Amino acid sequence: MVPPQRPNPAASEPQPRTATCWSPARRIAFRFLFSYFILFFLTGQEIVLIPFSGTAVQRYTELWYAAAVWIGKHLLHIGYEFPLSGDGSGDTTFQWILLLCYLTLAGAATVVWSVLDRRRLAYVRLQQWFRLLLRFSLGLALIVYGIAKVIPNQMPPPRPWTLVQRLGELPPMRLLWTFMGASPAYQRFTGLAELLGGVLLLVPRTILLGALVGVADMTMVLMLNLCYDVPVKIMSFHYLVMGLLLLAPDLRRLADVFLFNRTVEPAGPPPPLFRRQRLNRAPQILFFLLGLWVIGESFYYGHQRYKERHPPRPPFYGAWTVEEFAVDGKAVPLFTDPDRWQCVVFQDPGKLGVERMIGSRRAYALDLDVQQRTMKLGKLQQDAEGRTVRDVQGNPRMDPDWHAELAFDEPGADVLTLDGQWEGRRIHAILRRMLLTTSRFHWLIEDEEE
Amino acid sequence: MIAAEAQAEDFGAASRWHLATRIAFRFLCLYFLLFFITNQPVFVIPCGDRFNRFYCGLWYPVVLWVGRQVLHLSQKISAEGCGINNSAYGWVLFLCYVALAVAGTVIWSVLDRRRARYERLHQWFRLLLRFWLASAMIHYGLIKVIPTQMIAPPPLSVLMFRVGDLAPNYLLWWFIAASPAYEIFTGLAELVGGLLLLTPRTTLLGAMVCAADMLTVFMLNMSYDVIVKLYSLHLLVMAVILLAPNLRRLANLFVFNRRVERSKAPPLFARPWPNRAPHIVLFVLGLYVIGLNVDYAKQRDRHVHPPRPPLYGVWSVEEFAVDGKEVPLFTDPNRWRWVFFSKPGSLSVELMIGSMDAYALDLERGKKAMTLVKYLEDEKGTTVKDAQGKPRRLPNWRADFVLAEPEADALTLEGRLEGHRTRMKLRKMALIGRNFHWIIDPDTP
Repeated sequence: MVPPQRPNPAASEPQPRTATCWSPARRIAFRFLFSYFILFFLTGQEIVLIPFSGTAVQRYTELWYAAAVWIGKHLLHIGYEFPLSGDGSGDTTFQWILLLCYLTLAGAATVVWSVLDRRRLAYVRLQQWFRLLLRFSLGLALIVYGIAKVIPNQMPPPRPWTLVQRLGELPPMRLLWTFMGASPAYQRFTGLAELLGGVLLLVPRTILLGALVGVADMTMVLMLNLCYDVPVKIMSFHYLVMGLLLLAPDLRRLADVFLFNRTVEPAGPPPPLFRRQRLNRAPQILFFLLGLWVIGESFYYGHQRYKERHPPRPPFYGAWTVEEFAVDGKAVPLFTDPDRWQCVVFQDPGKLGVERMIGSRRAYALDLDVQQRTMKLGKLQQDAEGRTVRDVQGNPRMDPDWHAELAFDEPGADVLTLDGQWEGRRIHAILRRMLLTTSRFHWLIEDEEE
Repeated sequence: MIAAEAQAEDFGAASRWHLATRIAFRFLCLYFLLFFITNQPVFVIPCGDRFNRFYCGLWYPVVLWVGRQVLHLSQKISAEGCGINNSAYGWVLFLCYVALAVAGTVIWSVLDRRRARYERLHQWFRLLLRFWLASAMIHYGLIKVIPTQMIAPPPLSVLMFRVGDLAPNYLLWWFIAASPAYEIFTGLAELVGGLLLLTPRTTLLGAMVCAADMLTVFMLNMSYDVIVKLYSLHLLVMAVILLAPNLRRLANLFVFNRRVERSKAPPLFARPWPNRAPHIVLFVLGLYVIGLNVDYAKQRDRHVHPPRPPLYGVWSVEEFAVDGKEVPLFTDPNRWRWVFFSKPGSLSVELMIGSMDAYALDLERGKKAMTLVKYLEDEKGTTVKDAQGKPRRLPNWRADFVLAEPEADALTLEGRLEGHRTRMKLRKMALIGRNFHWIIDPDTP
């Protein structure tokens, strides 16, 4: 197996390495990119995947916390306190300050390096190390994100309380998450597309293909993040640039195949990473093994996380529309009685949620007896802001004088009827499960169907 | 024709195609020949629409007969359009095409068993595929670049749907529509694929882009139950067929790191001089397709995006105070809940109880003040209209408000409503508000 990557020589014959000479612009660009991405990598998401790196990375990052706070206050005059942990956001004030620091530092480093090292014609060996770094960052990110979708953990299925919300009430990112969560099949497909790119980057021979797949994936992700305001814009942009940098040396060969229809020679062997020949394969093999380890670990923890996040669902789990509602035998049409039920939600075990016509939502304690087909309900005490009041042990406090018992029945699939006394009135409700969760796959769309 | 094939023999490393390749080629040729006339790209060709109607008219009784007598279908079969789709009609038509193509392949394979390969026919087939796929990609691309396929941003009534009330295909639709920028991006990805198919030199790249696009589209259609599963699969297969002859070159480049030879296309004609003509015709037709679709999308754009009034959007009534006293949410059934500025000159309100009120709206220029007037209604609650069909206004009822925009996506109204001093604070619904943030800090406690 011969690793194929090397900067493309215009001539067909591989040239002796001593003759390689980069243009000054390319040398300067390389120095800058190398410095910048080293800095970026050291506080990035993938460095902690190196075994035993945790403590050192933590210490180093804390240095930057202190620096960023000082720079934010004294140089940038940021007038607000900014949190240092992102809590899910990668586009925090802190991250932007870091970027600014990295750009400045990399710029300064480039100047110094260019002056001190002005005789150097090319960075052939260092470029190989740089490529290894890029593969490490991008490849492992694609693997981790890919497996988080292949085992659909990243976007969980929308919760029943989300289903009763109006479409327009969702901020764009929640709409994107709801959309992706609604179809585990599609989420798996996108995960496979990412995982494929990552796996291809593990092997020297398939770097070019892996970088192409990675660039396609990350273009899509970056666009989604920009269009739906997902706070991972900085990271996804960097991943895209990493993919493009991995592609760059082969752009001419790609253009020869796809645009100019020229004969393309096989890429020569990549320049060695070490002067000593026998050490050369070691970093590649180590990286490959680390990649396999990350794949195994991600699948293992992903599987566990999936089980944790998908405990057995309580009966009737889901959001239900109240199609008919009758009080004391008399039907209550929509828009007439503020207390008429509009939606019913079974989300958390032991709880039943009701949204009334007037729009208020309330959770009741639910004791479901499947044998007797009854629901015993209690009223949870709520404070003025609608939060459940809890006692010292953290148990929700109940209204002692409030009880209700409803008989339920399932006359058909996804239909539920409730009958019984409720706040001194006899109610009868027919509920239907909301469409998004009941809709089945259709090969054949019937003409009559709406 | 045989003589012509023989002349082409000196072209390239001419060898006998594998038996399976020959049979597959015959089948695909016949199948797609039957298929090509059915969907929209054919309308670009002069008299294409008449030809299409004639062709579909031929198939209609056949499909009905096969559906009833051969397949014993209980479904009602109606010819909605006449192409292959996921309706009962589309499926029966698909089965008819497959059956016919299989029969044709058997006959062709027997009669033509001596033939070593179909080099020239293959080139014509590719030309047809390129035209067809490019037209479809340009069509779907342009109606997203001018974001009208999914009406972006979604109409205000759509924003009021509960998420769970949307079928999966509508969730997909309104998800894409929620971001015009994203819809334009996906449209560009399709448009670029289509445009690249228009010249022979960039066909390989175009086919790769189209295959990536259509794989995503097909997966979306399968995952969100969109009705064009079968049709999008056809487009994906076309892109793959266009890629197929280059697969070895691609593998040499991407996997084996071997020398990648130039691709040499055998000529379309035995004589060299007319060889470029079909490619030029294809290119010109492609330009025509672009023009047609730009017109179509623009027309649709005018239809689905009528002029918007100032303050367009759904606004949540966050605060509502009558005579200085705040009316909290969920207390008064008649408290305003949502305010809709949807059409010029009208304003709708959804009350807490869920019912709607409509008003005529006079909004002062500069959005500083507005006046509401009620419409006259009869006993049944329908609006009374005058001779011109315009709704009549209720005399002696008006409400005047002073408007202010204290911050982005927020609006305050102060004035008199039903004889009471009323003050409201409105906020634009989250999905349509200002939704781009470079910096997102988690809420500090």
